Amino acid sequence: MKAQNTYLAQKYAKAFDLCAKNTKEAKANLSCYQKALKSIKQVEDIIKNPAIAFNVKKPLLDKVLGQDIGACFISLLVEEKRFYLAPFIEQELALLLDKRQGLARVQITSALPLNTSEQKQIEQVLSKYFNTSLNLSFKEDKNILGGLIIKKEDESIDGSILGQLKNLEQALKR
Amino acid sequence: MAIRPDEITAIIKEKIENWNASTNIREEGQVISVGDGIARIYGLEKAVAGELLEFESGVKGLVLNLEYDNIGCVLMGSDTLVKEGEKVYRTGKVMSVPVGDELLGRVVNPLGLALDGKTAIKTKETRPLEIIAPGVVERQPVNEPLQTGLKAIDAMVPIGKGQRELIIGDRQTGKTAIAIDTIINQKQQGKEVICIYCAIGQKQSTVAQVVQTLKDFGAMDYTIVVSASASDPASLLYVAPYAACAMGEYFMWQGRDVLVVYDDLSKHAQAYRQMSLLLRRPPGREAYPGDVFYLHSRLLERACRLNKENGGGSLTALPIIETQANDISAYIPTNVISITDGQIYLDANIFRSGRKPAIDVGLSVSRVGGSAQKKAMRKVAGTLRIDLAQYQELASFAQFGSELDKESQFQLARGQRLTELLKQTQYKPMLVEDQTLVLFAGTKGYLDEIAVNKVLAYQEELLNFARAKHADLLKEIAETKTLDGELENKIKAILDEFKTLFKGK
Repeated sequence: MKAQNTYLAQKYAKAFDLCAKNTKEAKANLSCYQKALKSIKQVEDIIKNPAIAFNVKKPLLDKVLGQDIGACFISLLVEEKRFYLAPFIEQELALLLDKRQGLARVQITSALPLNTSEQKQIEQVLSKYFNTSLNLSFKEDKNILGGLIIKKEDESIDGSILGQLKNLEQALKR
Repeated sequence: MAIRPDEITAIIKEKIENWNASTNIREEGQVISVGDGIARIYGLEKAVAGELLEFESGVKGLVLNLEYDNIGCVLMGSDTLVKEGEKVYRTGKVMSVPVGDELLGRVVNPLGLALDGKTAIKTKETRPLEIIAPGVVERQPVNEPLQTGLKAIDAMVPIGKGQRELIIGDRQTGKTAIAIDTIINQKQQGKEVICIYCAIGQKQSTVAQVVQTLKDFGAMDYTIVVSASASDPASLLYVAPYAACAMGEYFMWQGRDVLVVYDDLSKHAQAYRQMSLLLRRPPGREAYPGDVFYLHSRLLERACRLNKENGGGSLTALPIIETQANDISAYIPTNVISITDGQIYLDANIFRSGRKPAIDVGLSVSRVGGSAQKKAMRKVAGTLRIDLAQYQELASFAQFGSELDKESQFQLARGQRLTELLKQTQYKPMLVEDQTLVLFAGTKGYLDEIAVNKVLAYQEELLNFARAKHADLLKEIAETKTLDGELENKIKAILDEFKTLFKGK
């Protein structure tokens, strides 16, 4: 199901992304979409209700959202009965924006929160390693005990204590 | 043996001390769904078809489908261990199996793990499961016989080293028996032949029985049994023959002769059909996928006789196919018949009438074996096939009870004796010189005066007599290039001598 949603979301996100002529516009479009998504929260129950016809929903949408590009896109999703894709589309749009900006998304997991200088240091090392500018996001997970797990798309660099203990377990089993 | 905890502690301590912590850099994906031995994986965009994947739970998987946004992969272990959302890693390797002399005498699964409860198998080398078969340049024609030890086969459907000969028939017609006899027979041959028996989708009890038989006859010393039983996942059944072939190829490239028995390929095709349907590949005839022909052709194409420059080794394949109600025109049987260099057709009716091995002479052929037959045998057996064919035609005609002329009666009598002569008990393979001698007696009419029910006794005693008094002649028959007049006269002299002896009893 997840893959199916992602697959569909990619199509919609791509179309929405193509509406923007440059990076700046794409950025503005994304924030517009996010704003629309936020403002629609208050009427979400009605929007998601399949029993209510679109022509009933339409005036409500216009009233809540206004008339910008984000609003148009959302009402298109509602009309096409694809509103459930909205969060996936948001993710895909963020990825597409990164692509426009030449940024690579990297997620860093650590056991304890990292301070700013540590984060800077990691960014420097990694941007040299991956040879692109990066869009870093940090996450904490006590389970990994120590060290870092770095994940860029499919590639994962596991330097955590947990990963090393698992390796040791394998080595001892042999 | 007492367990010494301090020693174990020391070993573990040493392992921990010598272990160097390294960072794992690898590509990672996620399991979207899992079930029926199939997992779908999101991510791993660089994975290639046929690659081995490793799941976090330790299960291995084989990439078979590369789709737009996911990977279809078959699991080489239990699917209950794999969970949705679990991480999957690329290994960058294709599937391979351990190969080497260490495997001889062992029972292993298709991944090369011991199934016989003995020590773990540690080999120096591994070979990939799927490789492209040797090309034209590396081969030479098949011109050396592989003796099965069965008169009916060695005389009429001879098999050469490097040939692919299909054994086909209904259930319970003695297909496996022929293969086992052939393996046992290699013991009494001059040059060692490594045998690999690959059991696909069989009952564990049947496999255990085969292993016990091979042990009893001392054939396990040069045999490897690869077993993927009925309870194993379809993926293991699917890779089993390729694993057996890879193990055989190792010996072949060392210049040795190998015999691989695939028992049986119908179950292999069914396992592949199961996997394909679960992977949502479109079904074709009998619901088999479109590439089921290639499934078997690429396997059997790997049977080969290498030329001198490449060591001169050979890999002979004896695939087995089980038919349903004598239907050899079903999908899989026709496929495999067209791939192989001939087939031995076993008939249930012949089996029930007591003729064992139950080979149907009319439908069985060997497309290359003739040139591989020993010269003496070829000369002796030359007319056997036609004689038998004529006899069978006449026999069905004679059933109507009409009066027959003398010539026909003679032919009928000869045929009955030859048919009787071709009977052979299980696990009693014969040397080629013994076969030649008795078939000579049969085709030259020495049996004509013997009662049909005495023919096998005649054979037994003739061989005892020849071995005791004329061992040199048997040796000469085995080594002769042409069965010339001189040797023929010698054989006739012996047969005449024996005739009076046998009659006297």
